[in-house]
Amino acid sequence: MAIEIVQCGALITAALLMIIGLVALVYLDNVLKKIIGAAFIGDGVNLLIIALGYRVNGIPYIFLQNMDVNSFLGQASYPLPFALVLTSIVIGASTLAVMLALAVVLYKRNGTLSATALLNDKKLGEENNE
Amino acid sequence: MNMYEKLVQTLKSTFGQDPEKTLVNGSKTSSIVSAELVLMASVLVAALTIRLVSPALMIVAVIGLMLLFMYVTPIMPKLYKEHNDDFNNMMFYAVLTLAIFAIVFYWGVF
Amino acid sequence: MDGTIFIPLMVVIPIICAVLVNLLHEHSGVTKIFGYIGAICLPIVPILAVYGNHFFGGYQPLANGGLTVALPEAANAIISGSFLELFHPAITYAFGPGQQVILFVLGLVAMCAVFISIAETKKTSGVYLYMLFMLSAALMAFVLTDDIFNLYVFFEIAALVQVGLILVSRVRGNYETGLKYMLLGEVGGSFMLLGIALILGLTGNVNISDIVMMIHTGLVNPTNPVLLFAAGMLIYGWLYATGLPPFNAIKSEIYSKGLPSGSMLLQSFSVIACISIGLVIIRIFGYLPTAQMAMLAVSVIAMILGICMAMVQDDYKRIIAYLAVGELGYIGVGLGLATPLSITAGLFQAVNELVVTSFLFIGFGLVLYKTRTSKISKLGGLVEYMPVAALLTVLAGFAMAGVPPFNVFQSKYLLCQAAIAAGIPELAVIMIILSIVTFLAFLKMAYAIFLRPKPDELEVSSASVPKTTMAVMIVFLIICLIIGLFPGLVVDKLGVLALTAFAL
Repeated sequence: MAIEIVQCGALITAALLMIIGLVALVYLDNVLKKIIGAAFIGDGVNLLIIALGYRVNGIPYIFLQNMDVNSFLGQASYPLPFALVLTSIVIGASTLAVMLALAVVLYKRNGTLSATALLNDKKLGEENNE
Repeated sequence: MNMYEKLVQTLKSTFGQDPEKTLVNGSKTSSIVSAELVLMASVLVAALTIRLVSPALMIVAVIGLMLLFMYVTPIMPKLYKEHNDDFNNMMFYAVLTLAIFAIVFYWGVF
Repeated sequence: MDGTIFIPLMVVIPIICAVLVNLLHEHSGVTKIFGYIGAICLPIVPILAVYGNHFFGGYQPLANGGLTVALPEAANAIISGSFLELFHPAITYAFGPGQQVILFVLGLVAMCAVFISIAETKKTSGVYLYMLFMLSAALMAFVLTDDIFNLYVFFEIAALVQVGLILVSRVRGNYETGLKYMLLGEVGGSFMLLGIALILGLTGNVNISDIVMMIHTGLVNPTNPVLLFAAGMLIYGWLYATGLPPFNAIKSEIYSKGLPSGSMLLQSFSVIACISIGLVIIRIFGYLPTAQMAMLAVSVIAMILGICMAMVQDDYKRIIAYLAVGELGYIGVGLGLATPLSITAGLFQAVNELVVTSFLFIGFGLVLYKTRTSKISKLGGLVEYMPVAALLTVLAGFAMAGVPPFNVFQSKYLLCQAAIAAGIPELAVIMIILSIVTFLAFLKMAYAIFLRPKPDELEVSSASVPKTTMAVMIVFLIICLIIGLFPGLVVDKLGVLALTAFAL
């Protein structure tokens, strides 16, 4: 059982990352900290997906000519989560980039990063168009 | 008439921070009142569907809702204030819903 | 050549157009030509395509033969005769009659959005067209895909493009709204991915048909708490994508910050996400009454909240936005009842919604074009300045409220029938009450904007209404009438899609 600690640890870390991210999104006021929290949630989910593909004493999932099929099937780790998590990381990176760019623009315009000041639209239903 | 005056007072305190700009006129008042009535009617009708889970619970829920409506009317101004574009507010409700879904689906089914 | 070659083209053509218009954005003329060509392709390709499945890379299920020769002997021995033979190794796009109708209507809406954006701007913006095409591609893929992770990828692409669409609109407060939407989206999207990951962990599969087969044949324990938790997370993602409570406030804010042509596609995203993710949930978790109850409950709350909030707003963009969110509740009710009739009705409502809400967004976009203000209290007397457009806008509102002979009447009628047949007549009562109130909210708005005397301080610009916009509105009116008078054209085809939700 000692070896499965790796997988267990990864899953617990993933859960912690998600919870920390949610707490940051709800309780922290700085917009940048909120963005970091949001990125944490995505990272937690990615870690969970990677942990799903983990196999105790696993080998890479590349089938070579001289391998025995049965031992390969018994040992190879599961490839699908790795393929998926790559896509997911790319999506997360681009989302993060756009969010940070927006934070930069908002900071330049308003001179503050406080979420209560920036994202609190008290002008109820008032939308003027330029 | 007294009731109507009282209602208009409540509406003015919610919708007309600046009475010069946002006059609470007749059509606004009537639309808020109709929204209020629709909210009550449809929530009460929707509460009837609880009978599919348990009829006793439905009776309790409907009576509870009626009492609630009696004491908290008018609801629309409160709902309008609560339902604003504040990010913290939205995030709070989003996380609350997430928690409810997680609990209901992990422990509440089967 | 096989007709199924057109199936991936529905997604590929808009993506190629998007890349080209973005690359050539400095040459206004060329961009315009590519924009027109791409836009015309959008509704035409779904008509040309033949029903069937497309397997990307040509990797068909092993049962169809073809791949077996490439596998080692020993592997063949393990696979043949087992479930593995039926699995879909490639990303699969499924195209049937229901998808055809939805994609055709979606293509029309997207085409009109591109035409309007080209007509209403002096210099064609390649970047804006890029976003419109990319969102169309993502929406097309949403309807077609049979792969839950592919769905998620296009979902995130669509979310990013949506933010882009409101960033370029230059409406005040659009950057704040964009950041809010992305932060909320990170929560909604990530937890949807968590649901997908847990399903992947339990079934080892991301193909929806395979997951359904594994759960319904008992390969995976259907009452496993982790699987149920995944159901909850998928429904949470559905709420975010559709903009049902608690995400209705941000969704209506998003709609109101877009340009009219952008808002058309933004609301198309909500509608298409609602039906495609909703169908996935029903296909996988159709055995779970709690999932259906959760969908129903949230949809009813969305209907009541959306329409009540629409009554008290003073900004007509917000009113339409809240009405649109409320109307999404009708689709949710159709899906949540989970009978073949109700799902057909829900899909029918979705198709109608695509047309009617876009129609309203264009109509009130014209009011904005003429007056530069969106506050109802400042408006009035516009019927003198744009009589035909005013008439068309009022007709659009009638269509949305469900006045016969327009299309929404037919779908709401079908929804009420489905609710009664499913043994929950209360829902039919609520839907009728709220339709009446939708009509009331709309009438109040139409009176204030078009009919009452014009306030003195209101300035109406003398610019004439663009001809393309008028033509698009007439096209939408004709579609509403045709579907309203001959609902069988659409309903029969959507019924096939609804039935596949119950097939293994």
